[in-house]
Amino acid sequence: MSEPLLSIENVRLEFNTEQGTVHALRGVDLSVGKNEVVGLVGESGCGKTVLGLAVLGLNPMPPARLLDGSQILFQGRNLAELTPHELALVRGTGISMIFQEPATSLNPVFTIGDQISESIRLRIQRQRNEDKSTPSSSEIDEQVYEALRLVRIADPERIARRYPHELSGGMKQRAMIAMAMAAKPSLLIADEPTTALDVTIQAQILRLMRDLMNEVKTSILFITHDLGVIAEIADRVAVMYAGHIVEEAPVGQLFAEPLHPYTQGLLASLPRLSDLDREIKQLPGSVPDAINPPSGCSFHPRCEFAREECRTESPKLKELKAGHKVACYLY
Amino acid sequence: MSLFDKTELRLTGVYLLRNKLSLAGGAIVAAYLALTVVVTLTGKFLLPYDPYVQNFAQTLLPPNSAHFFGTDDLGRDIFSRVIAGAPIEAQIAFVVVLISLAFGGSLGAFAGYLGGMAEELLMRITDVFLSFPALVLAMAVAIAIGPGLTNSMMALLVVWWPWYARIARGEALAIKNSQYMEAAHAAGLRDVQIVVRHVLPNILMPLLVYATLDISNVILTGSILSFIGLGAQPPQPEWGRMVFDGQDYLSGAWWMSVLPALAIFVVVLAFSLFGDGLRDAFDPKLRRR
Amino acid sequence: MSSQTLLSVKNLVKHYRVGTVSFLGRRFGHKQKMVHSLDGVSFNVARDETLGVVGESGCGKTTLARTMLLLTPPTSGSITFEDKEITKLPKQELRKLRSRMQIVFQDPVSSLDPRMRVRDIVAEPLVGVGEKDRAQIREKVRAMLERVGLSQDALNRFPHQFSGGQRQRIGIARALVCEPQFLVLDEPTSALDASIQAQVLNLLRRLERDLRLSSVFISHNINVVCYMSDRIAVMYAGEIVEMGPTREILGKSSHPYTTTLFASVPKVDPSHRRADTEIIGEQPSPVNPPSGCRFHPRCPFVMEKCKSVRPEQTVVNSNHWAACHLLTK
Repeated sequence: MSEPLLSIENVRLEFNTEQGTVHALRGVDLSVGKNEVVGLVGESGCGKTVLGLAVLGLNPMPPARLLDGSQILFQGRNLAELTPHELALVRGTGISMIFQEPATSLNPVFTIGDQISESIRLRIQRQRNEDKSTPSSSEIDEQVYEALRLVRIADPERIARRYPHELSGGMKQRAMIAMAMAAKPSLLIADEPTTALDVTIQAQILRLMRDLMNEVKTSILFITHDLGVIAEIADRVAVMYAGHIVEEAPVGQLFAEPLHPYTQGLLASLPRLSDLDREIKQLPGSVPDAINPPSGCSFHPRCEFAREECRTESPKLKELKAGHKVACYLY
Repeated sequence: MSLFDKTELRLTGVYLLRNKLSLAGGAIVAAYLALTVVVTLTGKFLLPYDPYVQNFAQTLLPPNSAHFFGTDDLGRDIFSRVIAGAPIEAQIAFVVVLISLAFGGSLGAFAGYLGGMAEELLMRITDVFLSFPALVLAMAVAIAIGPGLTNSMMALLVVWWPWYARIARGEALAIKNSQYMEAAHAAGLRDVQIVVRHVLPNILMPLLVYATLDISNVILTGSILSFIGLGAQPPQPEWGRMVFDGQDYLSGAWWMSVLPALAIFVVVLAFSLFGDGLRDAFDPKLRRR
Repeated sequence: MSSQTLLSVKNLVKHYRVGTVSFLGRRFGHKQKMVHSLDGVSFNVARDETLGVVGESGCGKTTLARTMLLLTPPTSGSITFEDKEITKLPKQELRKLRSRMQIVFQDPVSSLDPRMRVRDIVAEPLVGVGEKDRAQIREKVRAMLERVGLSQDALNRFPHQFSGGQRQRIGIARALVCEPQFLVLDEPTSALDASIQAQVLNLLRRLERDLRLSSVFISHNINVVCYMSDRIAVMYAGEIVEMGPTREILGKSSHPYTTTLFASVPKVDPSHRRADTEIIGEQPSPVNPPSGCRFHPRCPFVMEKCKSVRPEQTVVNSNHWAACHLLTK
C-alpha cells in the first residue's frame, strides 16, 4: 500500500474539567490513504469527534492537552508539532473539515458567496506568497461558482448571493461542503455531516460526497455514529470505544464478520428492515465514564466474553487477516 | 421537592471561594450581619455610649480615643450611633427585598407562564413603574404618605416589586416550553400546580442572585430617602439621616457626615462585591476556568 | 387482538399563525400567514396495537403527538377516545382523562425537571389525577421504577445523576405510573446511542405487551418505527399519504413518497449499496404547501391531475390505503 495521506500515531489527548481529567483519546492509531473513505464509527463519548478536531488542532488547547508521543503525520510534517500559524495554513488547503450543524458553521451575516470566497482568497494568496498580490474579484467569483457547481447547485450565481437562513438544511450542508472543497484539500474530515438531515436529503448528500471523492480525488475521514451511513459510504471502517480503536477492517469484512464483541453487539442492536422479526439484542450497561474508565479493556464490564486478562491490561490492536485489525484477547 | 442539590452547591462554593474580591465583600457582609444581630439582641448594652443621650459639654469633638468617631452637635457619640444604626439598614433592605421577591416573583412567574391577558396586564403595570427612576418614584410616594422609617420602607416596596416581577416573568418564559412543563401538563396538573411545582423552584436561583445584588441598591436608596429627610426621623441613628444632620458642619466637624457616609459606602460595596461573585459563581458559562 | 378502536382521529387540522398581521396590515391586503402543520389527518388506533408514524422534518408528526392528546387544541377535526368525543371537553373533564392517555417525550435532558427528585417526577401523574394517599403513591412509584429496570435508590436522586438511557426510563415510568390505556411515544430513543436505544426499545416492547398498551410510536428513524409497530402511517407535509400493516408496506409500498423514503434509508449492509432511486428537491414549505397533491413537485410519476386535485384515500388492501392518483387510474 502506498504512503498514507494522513497517519495518526499513538495520539493521546486529555481534557481538564472541574470534575477531573477526561481521557478522550488513549493511544489512537489510524491512517487514511489516497482516494479512500475511512469511516470512523462509535457512540457518543467514544472520542471520534475529538479525534477529528485533533487532526487540525481545533480542540481548545486549554483545557485540552495533546500528550507527548502523539504524532499526526500529514505531507511529511507532524501536525501536532506545528505552531498555530503553520497549522492555520494547513486548514482549508491541505485538510478541510465539515460539521454536523451547518447553521452554526455558517456565519449568518455573510452571504454564501462571501464565505466561500474567503477560503479561496486565502488559498490563492498562499500559493502566490512571493507575489503578495491580491487576486481579482472576478477570478474569485468564478472559483466560487465552480465550487458551488461542484456540489451540484444548479444556479450558483443566485445561491452565492443568499444568506444562510434563506437556504434549506440540505442546501446549507452543500454550501458548507463547497466551502470546504473550494480550496481543493487532499483530505476532508466530515464530522456527522448528515446526522441532522432528513433521510432523503442525507441520501443526496452521501451520493454527492462519493461523487466528489471520485472527481476531485479528495480522501474523506467520515465520522458518524450511524452504521448504515458507514455501510453506504466507507471503504474502510474503524470502530472506536472509550478513546481506543477496537476494530478496523474493510467495510465488507466488518459487516460480514465483525470480530470485536462491541462491534458485534452494536450490529446486533440495530433494527433492520430486512429482518424485522429478529429481536434486537441489547448491550448491557452504558458507555463508560471518560474520567474513570474501567481498568484494562474498557469494554470488559459489558462484554459477555470477559476474562481475567481483560480486567488488567488493555489489549493492543492486532492485525488478524489482511487489513482486519482487532484489539481483543479473544484472538 | 428540593431546590438545592449538593453537587451544585459545592461547585458554587468552590467558585465563590476563588474570587478574592467577592470573598472580602462576603466577609464584610457577614461581619455586618453579625453586628446587626448582636445589636438587635443587646440594645444599648454593649455600646460605649448611649446613642441617644445628649451631652452639651462634649459637642463636636473630633475623633479621639474616647470617641472613635467624634461627637455630633448634640454631644452624642457618633461611633455608638453608627453601630446602633446598623440594624436599621439591614432591616429596610431585607424587608423590602424579601417581600418584593415573594410578591413580585410570584406575580411574574404566573404571568410569564400563563401568558395572554395576564401577562400583558402585568407587563403594562410594571412598565409604568419602571419608567421612573426608582429613587424619584420612591421619593414621590414617600412625600405622599409622609416621613418616617416605616413609611419609607413602604415607599420602597411599592417601587421595588416590579423589577422582580419582570425578572421572574423572563425566567418563566425561558422555561415555559421545556418538555418537563409539557409533561406536567400531560400529567393533568392545573396551571397553578404547574407554576408552584415547576416554575417557582426553577426561577428561584436567578431571583435570589439578583436579590443579593439588589440589597446594596435598597440600602443606598433607603439612606438617600433618609438623607433628604423623608425616611428615619430624629433621634433615630439611621446613617442617611446622620449624613443629613451633619451637612451644616461639613467644613468644620466633617466627621458627623463623612463617617456615617463611609459606613454606608462600605456596606453597600460589600454587598455589591459579594452579590457579583455569587452571580458569577452561579453562571455555568463563567465557570469554565 | 381485539379490533375495538381505542382512539379515533378524523380530519385533524392544526394551523399555527406566523407572526401577526396588524390591523393596518390587513387594510393593505396582507394575509395572515399560517403554518399548515396538520391538514386533515385521520386514523384509528385499536386496543393492543402499536401504530407507527414516520416522516421527515416538517411533516407534522410532532404536532400530531401534541394535538392527538389535546396538549394543544386542534384548529378543527374530531378526536374520539374510548368512544367519547374529547375535543370539546371542559378543562376539568379533560384533566381527569389524562391519566388514561400519556406521552413519553424525546429529550431525556429537558423532559425531567432538573430540580425535582425522581420520586416526585414519577409521581406527578398521580398528583394530577388527584391521588392523595401518600402510601399508595409511594408504592406505585416503587413498582414502576422496578418495572423499568431502575434500582430503588434512584428515588431520591436528581435527573442529572443519570445517563440518557436511564432518564428515558424515568420518563417511561412517569408515563405509565397511572396505568394508562394509551401511550404516545414522541421520538423516545432519538436522542440515545444505538446500544442504549436497543435497551429502551426492548423495554418498551415488553411493557406494551405486559400492560396491553395501545401506542403511537413516532420517529424519523424508519428502521426503529418499523421494528416497533404493527401498522405504520407515512406522513408528508401535514398529511398521511399511506397507512397499513408494516410488513405489507415494506414489501410493496403504494405511494411514491413511501417508496423513495424507504429506498433512502441506508442499509446496514455494504453489499447492497443503494441504487439511484434518489429523491430530488427538499421538504415543501409548511406555510405555502404545494397545491393538489403535496408531493407532486418531487414525484417521479407526476401527472397533470396531481397539480390541482388533492388525492383521496384509496383502499389498497384491507386496512391499507394510500392517497395517490396513480391508484385511481
